[in-house]
Amino acid sequence: MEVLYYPGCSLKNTYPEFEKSTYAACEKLGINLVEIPEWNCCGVVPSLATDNVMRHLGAVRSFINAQEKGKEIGTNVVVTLCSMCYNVLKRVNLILKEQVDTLKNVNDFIDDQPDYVPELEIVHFLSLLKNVGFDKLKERIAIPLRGLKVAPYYSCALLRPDRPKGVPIDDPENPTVIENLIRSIGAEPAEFPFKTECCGNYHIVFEPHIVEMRTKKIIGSARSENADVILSPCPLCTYNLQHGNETLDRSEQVPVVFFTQLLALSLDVKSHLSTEIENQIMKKIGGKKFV
Amino acid sequence: MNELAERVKEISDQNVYSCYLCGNCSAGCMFTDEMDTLPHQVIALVQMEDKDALGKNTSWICASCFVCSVRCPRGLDVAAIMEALREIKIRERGFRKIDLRKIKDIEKLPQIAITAAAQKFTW
Amino acid sequence: MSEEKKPMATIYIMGKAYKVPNTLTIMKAIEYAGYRFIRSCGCRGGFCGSCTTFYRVKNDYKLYVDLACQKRVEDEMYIVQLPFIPAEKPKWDLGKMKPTTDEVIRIFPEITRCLSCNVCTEACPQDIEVMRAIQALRRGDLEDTVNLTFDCISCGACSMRCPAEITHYQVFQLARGLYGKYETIPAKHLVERVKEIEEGSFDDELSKLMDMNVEKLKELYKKREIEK
Repeated sequence: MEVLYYPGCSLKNTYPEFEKSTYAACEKLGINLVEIPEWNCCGVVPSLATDNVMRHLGAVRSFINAQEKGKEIGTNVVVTLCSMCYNVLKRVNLILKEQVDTLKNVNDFIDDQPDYVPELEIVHFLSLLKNVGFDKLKERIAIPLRGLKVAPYYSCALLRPDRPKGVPIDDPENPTVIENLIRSIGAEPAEFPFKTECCGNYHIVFEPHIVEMRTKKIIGSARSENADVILSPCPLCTYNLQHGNETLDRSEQVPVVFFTQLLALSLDVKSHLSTEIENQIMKKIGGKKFV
Repeated sequence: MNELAERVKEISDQNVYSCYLCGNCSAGCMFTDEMDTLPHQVIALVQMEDKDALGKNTSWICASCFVCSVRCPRGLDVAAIMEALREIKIRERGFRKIDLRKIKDIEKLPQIAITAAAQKFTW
Repeated sequence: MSEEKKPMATIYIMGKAYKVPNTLTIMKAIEYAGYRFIRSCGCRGGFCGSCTTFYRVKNDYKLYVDLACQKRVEDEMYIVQLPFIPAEKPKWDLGKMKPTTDEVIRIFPEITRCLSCNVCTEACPQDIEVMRAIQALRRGDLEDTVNLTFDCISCGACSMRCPAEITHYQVFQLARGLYGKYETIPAKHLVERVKEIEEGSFDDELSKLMDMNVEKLKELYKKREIEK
């Protein structure tokens, strides 16, 4: 399977392990991620102002490059790992599909590149795995993570808003896709009531106490369910949760990892987890330490 | 439609008069502890053309998590209304909500966080 | 040949109309009209970035930017020169930094406001792909930024148009500084020569020159060895 891939700034700068573990897992699963050439920053938070077309430009320029590359390799599917990139790209694409005026406006403005024809499909990697089939995935697992209790954290960006239709990758109030992934890699999902709660988003920059308030509750909830690790699909949520961990005592902390890292671990490829966390996990499932 | 509600509609494409103040949005909002006024109360202020709505910290504490928009029984995008209230202030000449060159602990913050704050709070 | 036979162009300098030969550059045309440059003028060779000039042409709503020493005048051109491009340069210490794009963004966080609007590229008189270079920093590719901005002369035209208030040329200076210090192979002969200087190998000759009188210096200069 060959798909276009939009990385986003985090995967190239702050959290390379998210991308590296995904590449390792994809090689095992037969998925070829083709990075979009010259992609632009998506903007992280989509502009909710309907008159602010300028904010969509970064996403549209990336779409145009994806469109052209997609013609070469014969696909119109764009996959993202970062859930915030997913949210922005999905929403901008939906706006351009529905609002002809906005599409024309943006195409007229970008006069140094070909026009964008809104035929791309924006997909989050979790949806891609779901389409592959979790039972098929289970057959490929080399090291089932039996004994590990994993708290699935969804991040707002994957589930909301639900209008226009198309953004949520699952039911916004009670999603199950990450739990299904956890089961397919052999681990046990934790019944985790704070799984859809917001981590505080951009407030980490100027009002970090808001993030601390939110993440303490989320981590506390995972801890009370005896979760060994929290699975995260979003770099910003991961940073916020790790920040929350730092404000807690050692005994109350729950390590946060990217979902593709546990997937890679179970597929017996490089997970790029920190040695400490990998040892913790291996100890829990009674396995030997990896080299 | 009063002028403030008109402006909010222009920016967010949401009609504040659809709101019947059920309070579902405020009930679902996870950040109300920090707010001086609840989201549905701010919408009521807009309905009454009370410019105080722009002075409340509600729209600035809002984290754009969209729980309110998902739960609104009238289908209002409450998060977009909050964005409209922010945008009205941000677009004012000389208004500066944040100073990007004065971020505390910038060595630790990841790019994604700085970008999110920059794109949300500046024009 | 009389002046009238040369093809002329009408240009407006600070709102006043002048007829100048249309083969002149903006800079030469302003001097032809009788003005004397005491600012916004430097190498006159398209390299120093001092003479950034904004102009419009009649019946064209677009605003253009170019270097006065390089751009030829056009008929009905309205010219405005800025004495300099104002910018606030933050302090940085290359020795205390790592060669990563994250470091550049920490010094210039306003880069994260980039909307990909591309007005910077449109403004650049050196045909640099400015937006592409800024976005390369977002993509984590320091080398790309450095290669794309080699021709930058810090004229500041890009910064004047940018809605995100980025001072691109300062960003690129930092990027190139980091890359040059940490990523490029140091020139061996430079390292050796600096060592020689620090060891005092040239101290005697230098003090001889410092003590010499001006006439002797002039003579020495005239008789110096020149490689042919």
